[in-house]
Parts: sequence; C-alpha cells; structure tokens
Amino acid sequence: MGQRVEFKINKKKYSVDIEGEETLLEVLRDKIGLTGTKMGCNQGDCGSCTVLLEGKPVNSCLVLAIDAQGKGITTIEGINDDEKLHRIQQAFVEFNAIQCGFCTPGMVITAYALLKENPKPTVNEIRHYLQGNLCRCTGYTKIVEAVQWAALNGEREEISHDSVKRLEGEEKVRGKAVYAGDIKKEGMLVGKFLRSSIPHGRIKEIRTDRALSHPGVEAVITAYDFPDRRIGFIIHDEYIMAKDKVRYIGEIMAAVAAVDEKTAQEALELIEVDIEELPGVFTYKESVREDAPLIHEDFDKYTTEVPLIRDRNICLKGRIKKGDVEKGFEESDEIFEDSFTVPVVHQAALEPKTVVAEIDHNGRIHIFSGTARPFAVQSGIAEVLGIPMSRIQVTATRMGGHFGSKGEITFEPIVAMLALKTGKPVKVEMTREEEFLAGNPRHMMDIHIKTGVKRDGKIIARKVRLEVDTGAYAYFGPLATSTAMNLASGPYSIPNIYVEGICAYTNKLSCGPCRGPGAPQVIFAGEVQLDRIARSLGIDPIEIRLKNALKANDTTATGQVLKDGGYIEALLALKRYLTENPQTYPAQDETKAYGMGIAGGFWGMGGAGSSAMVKLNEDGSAVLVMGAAETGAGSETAMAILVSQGLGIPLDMVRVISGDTDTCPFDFGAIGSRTTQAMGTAVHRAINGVKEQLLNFAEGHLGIPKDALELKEGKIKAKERPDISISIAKAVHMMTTVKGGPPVATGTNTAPSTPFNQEYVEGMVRPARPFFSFCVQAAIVQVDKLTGKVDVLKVIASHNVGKAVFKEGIEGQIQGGVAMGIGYALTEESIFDGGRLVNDSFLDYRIPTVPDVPEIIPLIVEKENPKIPEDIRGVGEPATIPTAPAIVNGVYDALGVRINRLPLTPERVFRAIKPLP
Amino acid sequence: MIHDFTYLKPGSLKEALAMYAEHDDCKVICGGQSLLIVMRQGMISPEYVLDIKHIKELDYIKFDPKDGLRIGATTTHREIEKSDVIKKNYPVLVEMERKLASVQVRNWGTIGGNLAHADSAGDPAPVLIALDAEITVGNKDGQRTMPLEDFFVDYFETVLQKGEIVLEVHVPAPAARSAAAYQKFNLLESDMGIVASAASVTLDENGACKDVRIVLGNAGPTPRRVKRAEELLKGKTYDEALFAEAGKIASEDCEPVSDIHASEEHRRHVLGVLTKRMLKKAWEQARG
Ligand code: FES
Ligand code: FES
Repeated sequence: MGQRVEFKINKKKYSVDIEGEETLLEVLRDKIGLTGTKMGCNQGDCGSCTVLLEGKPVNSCLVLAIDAQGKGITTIEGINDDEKLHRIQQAFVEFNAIQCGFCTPGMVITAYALLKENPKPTVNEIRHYLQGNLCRCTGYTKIVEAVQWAALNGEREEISHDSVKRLEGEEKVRGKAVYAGDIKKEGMLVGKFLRSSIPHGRIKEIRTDRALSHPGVEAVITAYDFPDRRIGFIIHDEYIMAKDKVRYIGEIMAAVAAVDEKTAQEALELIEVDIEELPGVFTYKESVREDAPLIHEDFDKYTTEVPLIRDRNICLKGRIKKGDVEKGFEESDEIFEDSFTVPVVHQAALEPKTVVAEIDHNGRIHIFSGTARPFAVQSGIAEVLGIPMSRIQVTATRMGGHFGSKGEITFEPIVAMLALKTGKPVKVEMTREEEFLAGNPRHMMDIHIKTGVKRDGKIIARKVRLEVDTGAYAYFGPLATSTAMNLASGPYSIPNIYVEGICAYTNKLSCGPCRGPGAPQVIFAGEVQLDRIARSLGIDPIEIRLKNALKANDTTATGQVLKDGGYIEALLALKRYLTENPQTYPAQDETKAYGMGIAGGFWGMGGAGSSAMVKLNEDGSAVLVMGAAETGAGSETAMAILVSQGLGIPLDMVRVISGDTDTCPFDFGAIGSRTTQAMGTAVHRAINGVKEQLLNFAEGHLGIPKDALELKEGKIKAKERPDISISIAKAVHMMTTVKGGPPVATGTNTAPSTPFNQEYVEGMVRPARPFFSFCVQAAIVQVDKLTGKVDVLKVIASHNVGKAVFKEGIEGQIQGGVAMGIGYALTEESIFDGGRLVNDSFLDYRIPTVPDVPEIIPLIVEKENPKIPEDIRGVGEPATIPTAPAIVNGVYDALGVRINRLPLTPERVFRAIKPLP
Repeated sequence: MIHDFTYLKPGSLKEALAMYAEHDDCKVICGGQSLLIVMRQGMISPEYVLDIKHIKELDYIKFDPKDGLRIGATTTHREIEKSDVIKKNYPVLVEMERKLASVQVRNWGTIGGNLAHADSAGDPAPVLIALDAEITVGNKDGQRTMPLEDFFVDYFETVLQKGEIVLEVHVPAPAARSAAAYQKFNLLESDMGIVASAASVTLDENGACKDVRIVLGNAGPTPRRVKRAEELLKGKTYDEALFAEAGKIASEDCEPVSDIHASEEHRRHVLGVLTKRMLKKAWEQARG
C-alpha cells in the first residue's frame, strides 16, 4: 500500500511514493537518487548512512522514511550552498582525511553537526562524537586532524595541513564519487542469491520453476546454466555456483533477477532445494585425519596452476629446506619453542561488494564494480561463461575499501549471466551479513615455531610448521600458506631453516586475500617469539633485530638473494625516534599496568605486468591512462605525482583515467601493495617516452642538444641558458600541428623473474618476490589488571618505502594499516560454531572506532636505491603486519605474561594473569 | 529488507492507545533503533506498526526539587544527555547516556523505546533502578505505576500487556549526601556492555551508609539488584574491604551466561570488579 509523501531535503521539496516499511536511506538512495548517503551495514552500526534530521545526525537506515516526512533533512549534497566546499569538506580534502571515501559523506555530516553544536571541540570531544562513524581505511588520525582544523576556522594555523591533496578528494567529500551501488540504469533488475544453510551436503535437485513463474521474476539460474567448468585461483576446485555439493554455509546455489528486492527475496523462498546432508569437517585437525570425510571427492582430478602436493583434504603440502636445521639446533646455545593460533578476520571494507552488469547494443557485457582487478574480472567472466574476452568490458568504479576483499573475481560472472538471460541491467549488492558469511577473509593458522640462537642473539636455526584452514575451496589458501612459509624466517637472515606448510579444506567459507595474506599470521608468531628470546638473553629488542636483519645480498629462506635491504634503516629510524623522544608512561599500580612492545615485519611484493600511457594536450596538461584501479589507497594521486614531477608540470595539470578494460592498458591488479612499485615503473617508462619526444622536438626547435635541456615549470628549458626555453604547451601545439606528431607514449613493465634456489623448496606457490618492504613498530599499551582489558596508547610505525611518492598517502596507509592491526590484536575474530559463523554484523564483529585508535606516528624511511631508481615500495600491507605482535609484546612488558593466541580479549588476558575457576 | 506492514500514525496519545487496542499483531515503534534491526533480520514481522515517537505529550523532561524527575517516554537519549537539570541533579544519567551507542542512535532512540525493548544489556535500566525509578505504563483504560525493577520479566520481555505502552519514568529527588555511578565493561567505546554495574549511595550525617542500591546489567535475563550486598553495606562507614566484599557478592548473586564476548566466569569476575569500583566512586562522590 504505497502512499505519496512530501520530503524536505536540502531545502528542496520532493514528493515520492513510498511504502511504510521503507527506510529513509532507501528512499534517499533509490527513490530520490541522492546517492551520496551510503549503506555500509543497514543495521545502525557504521554511520555511513548518516544524515541530518532537523539538524541532528541520525542513521538513515534506522529511520522509517514516513517518519521523516515533513522534517528538514540534510544530506551530504546539501551542506554546501554553492559550488564552494563547506569548510569541513575542505578540511577533509586538505588533510587527506579521505581514502576510499565510502565513510566520508557520513563522517563529514557528523563532523558538521558536531561543529554546529560545539564550535570549539577538544580532540577528545571530536573522537567521542564521531565514534558511530566507522572508517576502515584511515585509522581516523587525519579525520580528527581535519575536524580540528575546521573548528579553528582559520584562527590558528598551527596544525599543519598536507601539501599534496588527493585528486579525487573533492568528488568524495561532495558525495559525488560513484560506487557500484550508486549506479542506476533504466529497467535495472535486482539480483539475489540463494545460499546454502547447511555446511556440507550433496545436492540432489534444485527446482526453480515456482520461483521463475512468480510475477516480477525475470530469471532464475543455477550452476547448470554455465558451462561445466571448475575455476579457482591456484586449484580449479570450484564451480561458479554449487553444482554437485554444497561445502559451506553461505555457498551460492541459485541466483534470481527480479524487478525489485522484495520480489527477488520472495523468489528465493520459492526455490526448492533437495540436499542430502553429509558429515562436515570444521577444523584443520579434523580435516587432516585419515578417516575424515572428503570435502572434494574428485580432488585428484582437479587441475592446478602450478604443480602441488595434495592429499585428501590437504590442498597444499609444501616445504622449505635451507641448510641443516637439526645441526643448527645442535650448535645453538638456547632453543625456544612456541605455538601460536591466529583467527579468521575480515577485511571489513565499509562498502559491501556490489556488481552491476548490462548488455550493450552490440551484445557486449559491461560490468561495473569496485574491483581492484578489472582485467582479471574480464578474463574470469570469459572463462566461466565460455565467451570471448572481447565481448566483455569491465569498468572499475570507485571502491569503498579493498584490503583484498575486492581483489579477486567472485560472483561477477553470475551477475553477467543474469544480465545475459534477461537482456536487462542487473545489480547485485551484498548485505553486511553476506559479506561476513561468504566474503573471503584472512586465514586462521596454527603456527609452531622452534628457534635456535647463540648466546649473543644470533639466530642460527629455525623450524616452522604452519597448519592452515582454508575453508571449502582452496582459493587463496595455497598462496597464503606459501607466502607465510616464505616469510617464516621473519626479516632475518637464518642459515638453517626448515618450514612446513599444510593447507587443508574445511566446511567453512573460503579464505581469501586479506591485507598481506599469510604475513601477519607468521610474523606474529616469529616476532612474539623473538621478543621472548631477546628478554631471555637480556638483549634489547631493537638490537637483536639489528643483529639478525636481512640486508642486501643476504639470502631468504627460499634462497632468493636480496638485491636490497631496508630493515636496518627502519630499525635505526625507530631507535633514533625513541632516543630523541623517550616514551614515558605511569608506573604500574594496583589496577593498571603499562608497557611497550616492538615488532618488525616484511612483505614481498611486485610481480606480473603493468602498463600505462601518457599523452599531452595542447595546453601542456597530461593525461595518464592506466589499468590500475584506485582502491582508495591513493594510487591515482601517486601516479599523477610521478607524471607531474617527471614532466615538470603542476599536479593539477595531470588527469588520470584508470581501471577500465576497454580504454586502459593492462594491469595485473591493485593487489599485494604492488601498484606504486609495478605500475610506477610502467608510468616512469611512459613519462620517459613522452619526455624523449618533447626533447627531440625542442632540440630541433631551440637548437640546443637534448641532454642540455630539461623539463621544468611547464617549460622545456636550456639548463645553462635561462633565456632559452619553450613552454610545453607551445611545444605540444607545434608537435600536434606542424611536426613531430602529438606526444604520446606507453610504458610497460613485467617484474623481473626472481631467482630462488629450486632445491630448497617443494610444493610451494611463488617462492620468491621481486621486492621486499620492511618495517618495525613500537606499541605502548595499558592493561587493566583486574578485567584484562588492553588499550593501545600509541603506535610508532617505521616503514621503509624506498622512494616516497605521495607522502600524505603513505601516512594514511600506515595509520589505517595500524588500526587494522589493532583490531587483529584486540577485538576481531570470526567465531564459528561448527560450520556456522556466529558473528555476522559489526555489532558482534568489532572493528576499531575512533576512540579505540590511538595516536599513530608514522616514520617514513626513504632509502633511494641507486640500482633501481624507480624503487618505490608499497606500504598498504606492511603497515598491518607488525602491529599485533608489537601490542602482544607490550602486554608482556606490562604484565609479564605471554599470550600466544589472537585476539587478546580481556578474558584471555585476564586468564593469563590469573586463572579463573 | 523489512517485511511490509501497515504504518499507523496516531495524532495524540489517546488516539495511539485506542489504535493499539484495536489492532492485533501490532508493534509499537518509538525510535526503532533496535526494533528496525530485529524486523530487518526477520525475527519479527508484525502486520501493523504503531509509531508513537512524534507524540509530543510524551516528550518532556520535568524536574521538581520535591517530586524529582519525570521523563516522558518519547524523550530521546540525546535530550536526556543534553538536559541541564539532569546534568545538575543526576549526573550519572548524563554519563550513562554519553556512552550509549552513537550520537546517531541517541538522537533518534527514545527512553521509552529502550526500556520497552528490555535488552538486558541496555544501559538506562540499571542506572534508573539504582536511582529508585518508577515506570508508568498505560492503555486506553488507565495507567499503572510500578518500580522499574518490576517492569522487566525476562530477556526482551516486560510486564506490558496488549494495548499498553510506556508513558513515563519517574526518578525521586536526589537525597542529600547521595551519588550514583555506572560503568559498563565493553571492548569498544560505543559497544553494548558485556556486563555493567550501577551503584547509588546515600550517607547519613555521620558518613554512614543510609541507603544503597546496586544493580547489575546483562547479568541475567533482567537488570538485577544485589540485595545481599546492599544489606551488608547499610549502616557501615567507608571501607574498601567492604566494597570488595560487596563486589564478591555481586559476582555470586547473578546469572550471566557465556557467549562469544565473554564466558560466564569472566562476566562474574568483572561484575565484581565493576561493583567494587562503582561503590567506591559513588560513595566518594556522596561524601562530597
Ligand atoms: S548503513 Fe546505517 S549505520 Fe551502517
Ligand atoms: S576512507 Fe573511511 S572507510 Fe575508506
């Protein structure tokens, strides 16, 4: 029973037909088209949907639209009256308080309300007021700084704001950035998935006819609508939808496209599924038992990308053997042995994954999605649907947080198929519950680690065993396991090392790439143990790390010879900082204890191909076209800076087009912190190409040899003769119209193949990485001894980035990474009851809010690499890696107890201090 | 997605009560910060939703030095948080509200909605019970008033009968030399409490305890008094050992359950710690 209702939004009147049950958020986004207000959870937990109602911030997902009737509503689109940004929006841009931008509209609205209510808030008041607005990217530091600056209103300028502002900042603070969920097409259908509610079973039949005949339903599809082909990242073990069996709760069994969400939902209920339930396997230990039920009966028929050793439920069994570990232990003065357990944790990007597919007039499929790998989505759809790649275009929209969750192809082919079947555009938007239930989170691992050291702290032998639960499908399991194996030495040179990695299937969701897949797990184990070693030997934690640090020409566990180091520099920077700024905290009292912990880390990146094109316009501006999508990490800005620096033109004269498979040159994907490194190299080459063309022209035109020319301040200048120059604009104009041809060049790059020692490794995926990035962090913690609650008071994060291109962006990456590390250390964990996920909302799965994230001080260590001038190293993943062990080591410093299991819930901490009954 | 329902919007309290009496399978919404979540999860799907949030008659905060504080059911959390008279006379209520969920939820959620939802982890109830509050509920035929602690029956269950809604909460005037304190134990700043404890203390001229109320949150199906500890403290003077003893009793006289956030044992333990802390805090404030 619809009714016509009048709304006053941003001082305008709208008259809309609504249903009683529609929320204000739904009406704003779907009916009125004000898509600046975002949906992150639909449960009142994230604040992405914040709007002002009668001037007060509310979660529009928890307000019935009809209830807002007649009340003044202000959305992000309405806080600035004219073209000019409101001061608070301006502040977010100035301070780079924006990454993916998905939280930004809600955050800006709340901050706006705060300043209306309290024009001069203290830092604590800001943090308190914003706590209902989650941000997964920034670690909040820059957001709080921005609000402070806006509050000062130009009276005091002592908070320095950032010099480089991200290119797409303005569209994001205005709520104008287009994410996949914001796309609306004429006649667009809503797609929904029927998911398994049992963890393991044989599908006997899926009957869709009742659903299909339900009015408003336009297509119902199952695995049988696709060619009979298994896909997978390393092991081809998965159909696009469950076909013969279901293997986890949440697995997609059927998909529906209907005129609206309600109809689609009703159709799902009409699908009849006949499944014979099978006994499930829910933990690693159950899975590897000889008599365990097989999750994949046909595992030996599956094809793989690389040769692997597999056995029953084990999908990868790898080992690294360097030196003689047993002999190493014999020669050791002391041996330390520990076991660690780390949980499944989610990327928890604020934007639930959303895909829109449409069929264009030529019958081509056009996909819009916030994907970090548009080209992989393109080839993946081609493979699954059995159609040529040339029939598919993938456009990466703005992405509301990535961290791995938007990296790989998942359900895009299903949406493409729904669009093909119906001939109409189809949108599928995950709910927050689906994200938790069927996203691809970080692997849980059990890690056993035994290390032999000399009395002076030199590590001479290490043996590691990694037991990894990958879930129902191998997906990232083999790679995450291999990466963890590769990094099991820690950033240390260890002569004798033996690593075993075993990755097993269970009847739970498949784990995927999550910010440094494999690394935070194994580094946690190694760094906590190293802290124990240092204390037991009476060596300073930084000194023991310096003593063992990997350097240039050292070999890694797999026998890769490092071209360059960087760990020592990061360690020394932290050491210097701590000497110059001695950290003090109160002495222990009856209830509280304080401590500081240190942990290091490293991450291997690079690999695969990237390409870019740079062209110049007749006004001297440049356009960079690249395949890498902007994940929110700031790659468009970083690459534009390279162009601006390389060509000597202002940053605002560089435009970037990215992430579209039809128009952009290939990129492997914005994953693994590879973009600045791999794409940076390609962009460099493209810049050099156009530069060469400009110089060739200028040489003839100015009559000066080209090595005596330089590009500076928008001109081509003679280095020695300031009076001789030509503007780039003029040069381009002449080249375009008279001679030389319009300047345009491409750059392309495939990471050098990285040698390692074949004899050291067996059954591993990618045993070497072209580049390593090193880091070390210090965390200061406070523990309530009577309850076990841990608070992090400060984190100092020292990161070697090679060459820092977009410094403000790097700081933001570090702060966001550390915040995620704090969640990993203290609060985050997916909890399963058998095969059932228990916590599927932000209320029960707790990511840090503003007041939970302390001051984070980034120390950016630049180490120019003479051998590789374009040596730029990503920092997105490294930032998360050492945080949890630093916190755990801090808790030891405070309390004298070791906790080898994450997260450090108050209860675990308390039980470690004092056993409960 | 929320299941369809018919939305009822009464113009006055009288009309609301009449409508509620008339409609079966009807759920009252008063802010909906919890209700809409459970409706979206499909846990309830009423045929009618009766919206009383906008009823102005129930939107008030009145204070009289003799009569005390009266808060109408549709008053938002934020109105309580920002109220000067409450801040002056019942600062503990403001402190409690400041930590209730987020500013967005407090702006739209109401005190009546919160109490009627009867979530054992809700913040207001333990504090209000510690302050000896009463609640008035009514239907089209009349009203009844009872101590707030008698209002809760079980998890998410109250004494409200069909057709009955919450009308008002009444808190007696603060006694001389009295103070109250509340703390919840949670992981993140804005979380629901894993457990919580509220204590109010009134001292006599000699500094001995004249009256004390200790109330635990999320320590069983309903907010619960720890009467054995209250008895222990009455007539006594300031003594930290006594607070510890009261804390110990609190950890015994409760029935928390284990869930993913904490085990029963840890909850009991923390209830003891919080109770001791809150007694000490309230007592010291009452001494002035
Ligand atoms: S979408 Fe409304 S609070 Fe998350
Ligand atoms: S910038 Fe806040 S969630 Fe991405």
